[in-house]
Amino acid sequence: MSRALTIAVVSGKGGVGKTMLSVAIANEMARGHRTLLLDLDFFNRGLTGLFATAVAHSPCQPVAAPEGLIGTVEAGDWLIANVHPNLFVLSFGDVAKSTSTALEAMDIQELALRLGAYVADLCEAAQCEVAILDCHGGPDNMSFAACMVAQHSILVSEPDKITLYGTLNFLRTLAGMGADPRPDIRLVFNKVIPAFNARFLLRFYDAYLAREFASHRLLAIYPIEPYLTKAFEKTPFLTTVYPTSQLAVKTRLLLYELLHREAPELLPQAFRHPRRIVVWYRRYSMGRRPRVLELDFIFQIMAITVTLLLSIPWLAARINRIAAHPLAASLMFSDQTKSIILGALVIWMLIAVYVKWLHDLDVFTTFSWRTHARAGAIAGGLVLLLLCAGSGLTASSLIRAELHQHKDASMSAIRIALSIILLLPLLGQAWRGVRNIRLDRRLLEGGCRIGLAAVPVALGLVDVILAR
Amino acid sequence: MDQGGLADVLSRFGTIKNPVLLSSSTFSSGMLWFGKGLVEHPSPISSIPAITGFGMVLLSAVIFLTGLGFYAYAFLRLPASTQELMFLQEGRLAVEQHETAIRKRRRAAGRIVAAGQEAPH
Repeated sequence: MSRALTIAVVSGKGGVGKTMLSVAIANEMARGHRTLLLDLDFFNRGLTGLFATAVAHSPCQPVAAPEGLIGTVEAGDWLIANVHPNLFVLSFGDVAKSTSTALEAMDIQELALRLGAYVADLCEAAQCEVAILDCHGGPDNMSFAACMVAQHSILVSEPDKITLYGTLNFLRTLAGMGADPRPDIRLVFNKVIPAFNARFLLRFYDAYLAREFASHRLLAIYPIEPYLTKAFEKTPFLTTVYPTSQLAVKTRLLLYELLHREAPELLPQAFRHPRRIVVWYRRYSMGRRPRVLELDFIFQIMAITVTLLLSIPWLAARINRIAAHPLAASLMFSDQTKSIILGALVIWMLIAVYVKWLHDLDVFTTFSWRTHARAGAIAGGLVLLLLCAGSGLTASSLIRAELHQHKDASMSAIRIALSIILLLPLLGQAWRGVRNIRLDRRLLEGGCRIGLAAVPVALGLVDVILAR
Repeated sequence: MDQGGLADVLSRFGTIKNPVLLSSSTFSSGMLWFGKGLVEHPSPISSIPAITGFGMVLLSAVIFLTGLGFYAYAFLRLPASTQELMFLQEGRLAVEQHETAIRKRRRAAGRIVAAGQEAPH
């Protein structure tokens, strides 16, 4: 068996999301190859704790403990568990605290050699083609050794002062060790708050940090996803909230950026040939909900508009009284104008509410279905169906009205625009259904999603045809 | 992302690009409104109001285009929020300190090598 592809996930500081990223990378690689996920943080054991429940219910294979690394330990504690299709996790018991001092005192080249040999042995035992090393948060010897062993290392950082100092310190210390060949390290910005946008971080990286990473491109930018962090410790994470998250989308892009030139055959088939426009969009888009669909933003606009609608005519009336001017008269809005403006704002708000409800219901139903809470899934599915049917029938009634009364051009434009806006989320549902079937092989779930979109459209079409 | 006096001052304005655009467009609309009134209703006594009106219309266009140009520049090149601005300044400092530390380490390593070569003599 040839040498397994090894990817190390390291950071200059703890709490930046290394474990979550390691799990995401391992999960994506497991779509195409047998993948081994290793917890190299022997003392905190975050990954081991995360998969503890899954390991207890999965087929396990005992393996030798890394005595060359951590000294003599109790036999039988070290297992490789098959926690997910094609995904294997190394599980182990307690490691003596004194080992930590020994590891830090060990010669780094020697440590890298022993670690490399142990990873190769484990991959051989589990017949894995890919190994993901989740390291301790901070510049410890094991992280440096992992960087030397791995073909690619991912240094996770956050866009804040403290983490950046830690990141640069990690790079400096690693460079001081004089590893030959120089490890291939790429930077990832994780947990990016909404105050930052991707353009700024890419520019910052190119201007100040690229030379520290051998002029490689910034590998990925992950937005902070609070609901994901909350759900992370609740298994089953990989089959519930993960598939719809930006973490999944961005990890596919990360792997594509990392492997498409040197080892495209290792990329899972599903994202081996992404369209250039898709890669560009995912790189520059943080995947956040558009501002125009945020209710806070809409309420702000509504408040400003109402204030202007009340104050401008009042001001214009005062100006007109002082010095009559034809333009001042034009600012005295008619009742019809006010109604159109306010009506447009209310429709905008309703569309935002509709899109938000559709998304929330979809997440609720998917989560309930995948956690086997069937009653919740059925209830969520029925409400979702009602909402979709409502939008389909509203769109069809608008189209019907357009077919029968096509006198007013502006009303026609409004009707057509509204119909498209109401039908777009249904199209999105259908597209997600297609992806469920194509990528995840979830036939029932994908079929239900396509049905949710198809039934309202079919009802609408029948409605329009009968009306004609 | 350039350093330097003017660029540094300018980079702070990226956070207020929306108010700048709103103010410039409101101000230029107001100027256009009054200027247009002066041009459309010229005084029979003097041509000064009409010329002033024409100047106001031109100036309103200039103000609007300046605001729009600044917005486009800020959107593409400047930090858009206070957090981005702070990170830019602190990050720049962190990178400078990192480079200084590397230089110091190289110098120290060079001294050790030189001392090692001199020792046998």
